[in-house]
Amino acid sequence: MDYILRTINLTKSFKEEKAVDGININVNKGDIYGFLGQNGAGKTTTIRMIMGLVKSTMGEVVLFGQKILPGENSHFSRIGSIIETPGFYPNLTAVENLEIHRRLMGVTNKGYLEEALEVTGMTEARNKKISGFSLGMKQRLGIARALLHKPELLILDEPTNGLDPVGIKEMRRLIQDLSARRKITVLVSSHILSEIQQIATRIGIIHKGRLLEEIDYEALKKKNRSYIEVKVNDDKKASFLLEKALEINDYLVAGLGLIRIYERLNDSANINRVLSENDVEVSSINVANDSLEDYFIKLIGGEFNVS
Amino acid sequence: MLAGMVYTELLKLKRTILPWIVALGGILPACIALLMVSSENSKVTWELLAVSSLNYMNMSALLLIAVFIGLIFAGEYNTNTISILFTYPVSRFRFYIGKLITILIVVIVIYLVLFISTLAFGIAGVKNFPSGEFLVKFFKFSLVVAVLNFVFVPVTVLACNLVKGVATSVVTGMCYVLVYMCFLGSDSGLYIPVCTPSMIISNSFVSNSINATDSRSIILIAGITFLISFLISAVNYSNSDIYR
Repeated sequence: MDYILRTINLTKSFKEEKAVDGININVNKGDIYGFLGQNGAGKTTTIRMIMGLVKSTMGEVVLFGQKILPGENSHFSRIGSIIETPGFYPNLTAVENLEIHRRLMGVTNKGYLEEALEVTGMTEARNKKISGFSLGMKQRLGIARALLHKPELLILDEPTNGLDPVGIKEMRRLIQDLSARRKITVLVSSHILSEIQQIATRIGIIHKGRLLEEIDYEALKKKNRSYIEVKVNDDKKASFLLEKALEINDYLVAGLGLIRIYERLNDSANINRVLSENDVEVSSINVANDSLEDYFIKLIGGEFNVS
Repeated sequence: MLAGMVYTELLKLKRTILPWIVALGGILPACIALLMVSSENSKVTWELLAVSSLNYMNMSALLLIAVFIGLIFAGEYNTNTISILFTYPVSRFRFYIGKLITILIVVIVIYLVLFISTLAFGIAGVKNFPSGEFLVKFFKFSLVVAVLNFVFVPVTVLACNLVKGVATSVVTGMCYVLVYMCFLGSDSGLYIPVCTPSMIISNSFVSNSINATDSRSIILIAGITFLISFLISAVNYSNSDIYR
């Protein structure tokens, strides 16, 4: 696997309490990695450890195939980031803030600055002071800053916090566009399931400091897609009939006498008839649908913010 | 690279209270000195004016420089720019040095403004031009006092970084003023870094009563104070965890 970012047993403790507990994240090149967890789950602390802002108690961060040692900073020129609300110098204009970033990142091409402003639609606000910016404008300028030096990895911590629905949609489009057009790998954290669901190609679920699951979105969708659940007295014979008589191959024997059929969801009456006619006793048949939300709730054992 | 960092630090100060700090620090003490010297003495001399000007400046510098340090260091926490500052391919120590150099530049600029404004007010008050010897002496003293004021900058930086708020710098500055007022007249005042500049001005500008042993002690204490506080402050700055 071509990993851009990996954390190995990454841990952060505050006295006795573990804020992050042995997290192993694997972000592949080209992924939009959704880092999902409730508020206080440990997302920001993990991101801060990745970015060297907080020292880990234990574990390693591997970026671009290299283990990051404490105090090392050369890899930062390959990363763009927004951590929580992006901070700017309020007395300066948008372009002055970006100019500071350009210089400190060692970018010699001034055209990159203009390009970043253009991509994020901030060109018109370039000479406005930050103190007059709305939160949405600050987020967009934060993205412009994160993109200015053409990073390979973009780390966005709750980028839609405080944005209105239009702003959220714009941000989503921008992230997808950056991934598709510029081939930038993106790690985006959020506590909002629907937000991650719409853009992520891979999802890591963190809860109470622990990574509960890391899974490709397609695999997750498959895990949670709709199915016909049939309870029968003979699952072997029922399987044979499904394949031979009904030509159904996408099914799963989920337990003794319990079959989940993932295709022909509107054909449950016919399935019931064929099984019954061939002496397979059907005690129940119904269409079930585990939503992602159900899945996450099951995973974390509680309620999840889906707003 | 360091020059570039100092440039960015100076750029960050655009449209801030810096001009006011420079004006308050550089012009106001000279103005007050002229008024006070004129009211207390029948004849205003360049020496009296320079001593008074440097003394007023030194006391106000304790607070002004602390406020400026707050702006430079703790300001990054207030604006949450610290989270982006430490994600550049630049070591934290370099940032620390870059910021200290910026503070040193501004402190020197304040004293240069004081030097020029004292001369400008002096020409109006003394009604003659100073001698070349006086100019060299005054300039030299201005620089020495500026550098001595820089000695306890790392202490203020440490306080700002520990508490992570601009208000800390004001409190720290007020503590300096308090120590200054308590120890200024005492025998040990010469060796307490916040009082040293004023004591040197009072004892050395006119009468030259500081001997070589005193000078060595002053340099030693100032050096040790700076070095220890610099090391502690730099280590803290380079290693502290950054949270909002």
